[in-house]
Amino acid sequence: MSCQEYQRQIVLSLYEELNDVERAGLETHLTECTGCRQAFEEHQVFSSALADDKAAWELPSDLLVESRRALADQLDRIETKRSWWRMPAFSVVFTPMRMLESATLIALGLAFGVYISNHQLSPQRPAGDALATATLTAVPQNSLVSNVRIVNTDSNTATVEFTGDVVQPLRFTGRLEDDTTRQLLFSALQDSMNPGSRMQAVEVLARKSSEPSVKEVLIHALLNDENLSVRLKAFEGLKPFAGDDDVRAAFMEALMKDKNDGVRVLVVDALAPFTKSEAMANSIEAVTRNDDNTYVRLKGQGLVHSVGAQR
Amino acid sequence: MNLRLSLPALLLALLLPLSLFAKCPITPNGRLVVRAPAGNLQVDTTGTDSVDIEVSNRQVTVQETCRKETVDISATAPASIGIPDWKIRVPKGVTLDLSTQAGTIQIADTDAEALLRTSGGKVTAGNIRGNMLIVGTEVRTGNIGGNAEVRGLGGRIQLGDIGGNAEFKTEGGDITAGLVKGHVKAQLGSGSFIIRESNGDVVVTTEAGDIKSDYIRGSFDGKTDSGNIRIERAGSWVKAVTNVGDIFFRLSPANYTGDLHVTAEATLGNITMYVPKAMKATIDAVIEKPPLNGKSRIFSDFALKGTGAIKGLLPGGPDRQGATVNGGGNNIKVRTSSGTINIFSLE
Repeated sequence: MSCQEYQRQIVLSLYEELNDVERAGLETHLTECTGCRQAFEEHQVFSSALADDKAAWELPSDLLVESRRALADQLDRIETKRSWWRMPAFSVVFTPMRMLESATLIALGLAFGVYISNHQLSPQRPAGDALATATLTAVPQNSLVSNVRIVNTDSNTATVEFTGDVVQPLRFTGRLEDDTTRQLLFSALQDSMNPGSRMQAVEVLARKSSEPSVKEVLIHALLNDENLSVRLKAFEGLKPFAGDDDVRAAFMEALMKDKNDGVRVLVVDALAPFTKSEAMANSIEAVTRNDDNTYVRLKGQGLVHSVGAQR
Repeated sequence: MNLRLSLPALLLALLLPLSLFAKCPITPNGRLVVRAPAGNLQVDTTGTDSVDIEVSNRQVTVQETCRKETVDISATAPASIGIPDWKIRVPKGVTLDLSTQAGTIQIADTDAEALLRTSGGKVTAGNIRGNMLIVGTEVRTGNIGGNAEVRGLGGRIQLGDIGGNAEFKTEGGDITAGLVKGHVKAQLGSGSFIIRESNGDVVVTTEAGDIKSDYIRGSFDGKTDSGNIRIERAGSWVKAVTNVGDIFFRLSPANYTGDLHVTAEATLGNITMYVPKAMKATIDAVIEKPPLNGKSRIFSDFALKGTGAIKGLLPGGPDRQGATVNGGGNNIKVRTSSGTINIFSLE
């Protein structure tokens, strides 16, 4: 065995992954080879440093889950690549994978039978090979297929046309400044079925609410999202910019049309410090004059008085 | 002559918008009841033997009923004056029963109970040694010695530690609290619910938002329509349901003889749980729509076996696996339509 192979074994030996024969072989080699012994000692120092330091580490609790998931994904990919050419080994153990393989073989056999029979009956049949390839590649690894519908069948050519939705898992980490990250956040905000996700997206975007595109999105959420907590979080993101024209206009609109007392109370409070002119105070008063909530109504009136008193 | 006539009128005009004062003696453990038409109520608890009230606008007509144990303050005011400020000073042991039709409420630390209600405005309180009831938009308090009840009209609610039970009901906005020594019940129109710890049982429902806790010693019954559920340590049975979101919890019971059943359901999301190795359990895990081409997405340290009759023959069919651990017992039912299930063992 070469030194390179022994050095690969060194790491495994530190994690007690070698069998007795391999370990004995490695130990013998280490007594004879200075370079490998040095490598062993270095690994040993590194390993013990890690062990000493372990208590101070805060590993994410999801690490094990994520590692297993990633491993499973990789194994799936390997399995898929292999299964194109690998013949199943004979075994008395019927694992789910073997049963799937068997079922696949049977299905392929049937398909081949249909193919041969169609081929004999109709020499001018459509490109069956291309169709088979398209079908197999139409469903990516680990994807979910839903809403499958048969839209067309042709008994002459033995073809079936499906429609459906393919959903694939996505895991992505990116900085808030990155376009992809931002587009994904904007996309999450559009997910009408998932207000929890919209809340999180708004909360994250609110950290960059000084940027025009983000501000615009937050304004849209404040004025249009049906979920109260999403609107409240959008408000929190916009509040520091209540003096800006676009945000003030949005706040006025929210004051006029938001059905929740809490939002209107927060909005009128946020507008107050920036209400310097009589015209502005009057417009707030006009919007709040008939508000059901006493606080909002009185606050609007109070702004007119306080601006008047300052003059 | 003109000057002589106009001077008193001028003085009167100057005095009119100025503050109004009221004062009533009260025992150190008495009760103050304030019913304000509109007003920002600020309570200072450094008083000794009286209730002192100062209202920032003289157009408010205050009516006080001073008794030894209880002081009742009510008031009327023209709507045109807006929201005046009320500065109230009381002894620290006086129970505070304050209502305003509009305005903020702010109280300092108190050794007694506090009942604080506003139809619009923030409520801020220091540490409250007794029970507490708050109705308001945004709420922020220190530690509560007794039971706490909060009704939010929309806005964030932040509480410190709570010595008794806690009950929350809000239309929307996040709720956060520290250690709750009693039971917790929370109903949110929407918003996240985060408590650091609870010694008692926890029941939470929210239409959208996460539910999180570091440690729930009692049972946990949580449901969110859209959000994650994450309980770092759960001391008793767990029922966690989400439509869209992940579920994560570690079962960490003080003793294994109690009810430790688990129901965890996600329509679209992953479920991860840690189960003590020594616990008796009957595990039933189902992924209703597993990936079409993939392997099983149920991972476990326990030796799970496929229990679905058609698993492996029809791709895309339900993936169902189960196990009997330590002779079986507590039912652990885990179900997701689409996602991953992880059931790990805890030493």
